[in-house]
Amino acid sequence: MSPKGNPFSVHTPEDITASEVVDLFVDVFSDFYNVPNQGNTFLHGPRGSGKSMMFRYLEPDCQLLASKQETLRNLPFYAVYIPIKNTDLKLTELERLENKHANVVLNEHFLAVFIAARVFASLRDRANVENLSTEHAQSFALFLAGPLGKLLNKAGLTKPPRSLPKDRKISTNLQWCIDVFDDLCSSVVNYLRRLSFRRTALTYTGPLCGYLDFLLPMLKELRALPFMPRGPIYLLLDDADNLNETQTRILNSWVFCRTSADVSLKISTQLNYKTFRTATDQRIDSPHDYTEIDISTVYASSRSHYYGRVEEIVRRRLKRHQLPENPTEFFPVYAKQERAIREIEASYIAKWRETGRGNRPRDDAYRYARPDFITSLSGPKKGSSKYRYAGFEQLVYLSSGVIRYFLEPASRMYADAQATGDGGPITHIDSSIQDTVIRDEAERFMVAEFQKLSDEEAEPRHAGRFLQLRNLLHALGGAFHEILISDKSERRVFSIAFSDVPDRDVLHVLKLGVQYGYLHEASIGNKEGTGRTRMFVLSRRLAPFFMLDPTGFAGYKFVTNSAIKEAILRPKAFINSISNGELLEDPPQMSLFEQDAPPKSDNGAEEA
Amino acid sequence: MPHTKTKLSELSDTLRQRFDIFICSASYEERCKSIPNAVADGGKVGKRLVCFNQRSSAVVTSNARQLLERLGSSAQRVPLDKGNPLATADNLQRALSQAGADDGDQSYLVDITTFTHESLLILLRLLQARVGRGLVLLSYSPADEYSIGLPDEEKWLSKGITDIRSVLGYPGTTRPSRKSHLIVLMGFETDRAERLLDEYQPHVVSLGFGKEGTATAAKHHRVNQLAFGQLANKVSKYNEFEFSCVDVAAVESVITAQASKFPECNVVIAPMNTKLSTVGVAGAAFRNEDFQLCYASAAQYNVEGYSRPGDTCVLTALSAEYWKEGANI
Repeated sequence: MSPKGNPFSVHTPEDITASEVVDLFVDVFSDFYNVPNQGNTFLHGPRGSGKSMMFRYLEPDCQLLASKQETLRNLPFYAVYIPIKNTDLKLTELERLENKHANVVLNEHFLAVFIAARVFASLRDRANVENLSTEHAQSFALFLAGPLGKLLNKAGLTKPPRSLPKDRKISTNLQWCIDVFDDLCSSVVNYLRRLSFRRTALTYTGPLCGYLDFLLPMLKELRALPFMPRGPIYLLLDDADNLNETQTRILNSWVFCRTSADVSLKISTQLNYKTFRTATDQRIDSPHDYTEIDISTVYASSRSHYYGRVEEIVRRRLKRHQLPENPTEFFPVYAKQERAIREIEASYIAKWRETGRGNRPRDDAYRYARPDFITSLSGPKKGSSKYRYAGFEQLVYLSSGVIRYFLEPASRMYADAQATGDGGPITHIDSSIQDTVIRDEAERFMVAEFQKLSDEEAEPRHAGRFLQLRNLLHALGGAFHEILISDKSERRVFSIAFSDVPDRDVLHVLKLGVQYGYLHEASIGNKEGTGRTRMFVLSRRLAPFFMLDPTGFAGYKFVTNSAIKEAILRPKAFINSISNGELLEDPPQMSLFEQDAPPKSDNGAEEA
Repeated sequence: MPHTKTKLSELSDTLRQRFDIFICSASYEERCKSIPNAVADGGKVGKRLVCFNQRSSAVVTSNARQLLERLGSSAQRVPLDKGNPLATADNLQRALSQAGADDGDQSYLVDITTFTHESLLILLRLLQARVGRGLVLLSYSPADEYSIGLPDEEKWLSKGITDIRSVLGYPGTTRPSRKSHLIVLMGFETDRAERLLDEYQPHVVSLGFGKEGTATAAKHHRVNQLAFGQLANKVSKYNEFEFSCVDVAAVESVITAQASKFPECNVVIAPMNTKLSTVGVAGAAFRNEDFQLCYASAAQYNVEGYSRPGDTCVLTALSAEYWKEGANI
């Protein structure tokens, strides 16, 4: 039977069953190969970019199902999912300990026992250990009475609050461990509760569990049990931005220990990680201490990979709901518009020998047909018809490398199609529905959401930055539109690269844009060919707002710091200058129709 | 806990006893002066504490100055810090001690009208440790209109969130192996509630909606209903419950019942409705240590048109039962 509901609705991966995860998950690990491999990894990406789903897929229940294995032992690693919710660990009371020695010690204990509780909860809920042999269950019971008991004792828990279970059932013993670590967490909170309104020190007499002296040896012992995988234990800390600064530094200290052969730390962030310094203020560095992945940069830079991933994700979701599986048929293009574009393409191909600019007949057709069509709608006929953002390929481009930005609008489109349909199954989404939803989304992103972010900035000096960012986005979007409808040889432009060094103020505004997903950052060879320079790419989600063509390869322009200052302060004047052919420079080495070496993003992926 | 409604002009006469300590809070709202004005004369209050957020607009400082002048030379200023709950707690604590609150027999008249929810919760925790046999009477002056002049669907009180934090004194009990249950007592502020849900991504969501006939005015109920509808549309799965906007004991009992429906979850509660319902939530947390209270601090308030003062006042006496600690559920 097919599941009811919207095939594109987004759920928290934590709540999805293993079979659903395995059904829906598209293996993206060839793009992010460091995630499932041994080693510490930071995985950065905005909310909805698929981090939690990746982590959920690594959990043992999914791994067993995906690899059709019966026993944990055959898995290459054991991954424990540890979501960090906002106020789980970041309790206000902890601020009482700031600038006191106990701060690091108690926060580390809190973090360690929090994780330990999750490890045993994972074994209970995700590892299918119910059917372990008596011998294996016995080994776990011995682990409790032996190594774990000794470590707890060494940490100061001389008398466990709960006596060891009498029976050897693994479920009973696991629950004992969970209860012990839940209790230890509660004890920390109880201590903090007493600290709430005290301005003087309060003696802490409870146990103290650190990483090197407790959590690591405990996990090593656990790893050594005969039913556990031979590979390392992965601790998947999701949304580590929600740790307070001390906890962040402690986690970095663990990364610094480089214990990944036994315990690999996989840390996801929403691009707001507080610091890369340790508790002793040392900096952790990539690649020595960890590898680092920024999902949006990878996908903004490698669109062909991204397209394939989204196609597969959509295909699986449609299949699960017993709907037509072909994404391009489910999200059809606007046929009339595509016919008109094909006609323009044909005329470019026909006149290529006489007036063509590209090396091959299709080059001109590909580069100019769609921009020409958009231009034709910007003239005197403006308002009578408009370009439709429709068709699976365009929707993928418009999601700008973040799967959530495909699924959420798709979910709305599906709901709208149901609301306007005849009650029968939805076999496709009409192009007008696609266009309406996608334009709404772009408008919401650029207007309402931007306003919300701006409102959230309490610091007046930062509020000015949002105004500057808005100006910059309008200037870039407006300028790229002017270029699109011009007769320039390269009309699809979404990026700027600096021909000199951006100053601190300009960089601050650009970084703000990156932080909130309006821009992506990459790097590219500089004008002189002597090194690399910073590049900023406008999010394709904004294409409908500025009437840009989101499809295909897009070029970039070199700018100076002073030109971007002009854009920030006087966006209209900036756009006028662009119309007059000023301020932006073509990449000098770029022969537009030759297959130049594509720009590289920071991680070496192709920029397109 | 009975509550009575009275005209502000009759408040002083309505009070049957003299209160040792009067506590109020200055804000940018004009109504922060309503109750202090009504009790300044008439000899019904002894020591006077005027709280104010020191990192707020000049209007707040100016209103604090006016309140201090109005309440006489013995009135004491208590600076609070909306960005630093520890400073708020320390300053409140110091002021209470200086006013003699450490002697458990003091009686209190607390004007809760314009405290932030967070400061109010901290104050209640501090009073809990000090209240003995003395009466604590809460006074609240409802607004005649919120978000002055705007149609119901456009009304707003605050925008954006700068920070989400646990409320000092209400850390709950973290049991990492458990799932999470977020209980939101919805007010007018859909944006803040939505951000809260987005940040927590709880396993279980309970959205509370102010019960008809319990709002301080029927028109406020309509706005609250609109806000609830807006949020409910954006949440795919939630449990709905109703609560009284004015009855402290009823709020406590409904919150406790809602939490007990999901006994295997860590409970986080966001009180975002009336101040009186927030007092009820604090009561629930007094008796259920496991409840964590959270606060989403607003980035921007509707300073220009937050509210128009009304001419009435609601009085709620907190019984000795209210302050009692209890066993966890």
